[in-house]
Amino acid sequence: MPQLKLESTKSTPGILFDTDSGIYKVGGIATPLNAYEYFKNIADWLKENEAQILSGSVFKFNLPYFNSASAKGLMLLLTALKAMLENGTILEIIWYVEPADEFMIEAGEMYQEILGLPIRIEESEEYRS
Amino acid sequence: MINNAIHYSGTISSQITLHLTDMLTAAAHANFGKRSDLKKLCSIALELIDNAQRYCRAGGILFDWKVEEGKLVIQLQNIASKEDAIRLKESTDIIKKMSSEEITLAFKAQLMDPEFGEKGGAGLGMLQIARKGVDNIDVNISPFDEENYACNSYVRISLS
Repeated sequence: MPQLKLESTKSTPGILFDTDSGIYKVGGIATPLNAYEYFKNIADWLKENEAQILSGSVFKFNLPYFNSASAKGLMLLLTALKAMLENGTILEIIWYVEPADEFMIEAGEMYQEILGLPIRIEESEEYRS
Repeated sequence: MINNAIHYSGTISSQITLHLTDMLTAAAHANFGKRSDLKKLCSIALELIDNAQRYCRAGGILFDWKVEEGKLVIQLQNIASKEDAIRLKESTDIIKKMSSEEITLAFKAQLMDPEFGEKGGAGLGMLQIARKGVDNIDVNISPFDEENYACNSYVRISLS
């Protein structure tokens, strides 16, 4: 069954999308110079494997920091999730932030508003990659 | 109070950016302690560095982070193509005339535009900086040689 696994680097988040276990995680700092290419590949994988992603799947985002180019790159990924929701797949999207992290809380709220996505923002001390 | 300043003059690369990021985070913690907007302050500097790395054409960069009279002052100088420098100057001048509501709307519109620039830019850097509540944001450019311009980006933020 399809799996996408990318190890995190100092400038790109780790990705684990596993249709067998139903684990979908994006975790780490995102400051790649070519954010478009990085996130486009991930969004394309989601589109190609949409049929294998079951209702009830949970997408967990834990991004301590991302630059503005990655903010736009994340739009590609979140737009792919929105399309899946619109096609009838029920997904849960959790946006983990450090307690009182204004920057990331505001970012999560902006995606909620712009895309109309049911993103649940959860404060967490733990790193959940 | 000891203000932990950072002054960097040299080449710019992904590796240098990562080291500057670590330095900035450490200096911000040392200067300001625990603040909920610490990441915001660092992000302003990192957006400028990201711009410099993306558009720097010749030579290196000059980066300054310092605290002056209760304000954080961030300055970055680099050489960019004439076209990129003029675009940066013009877009910054437009942003400076916008209200905070207009900046937020422009940021959202640009975020929703799926197009990226030729050099991978999202067109969001200066809007992102401006919407973080800075006191001053300015870009000065001047001819460096026939093809390139020197760019000097300057941001000042109250620390109250």
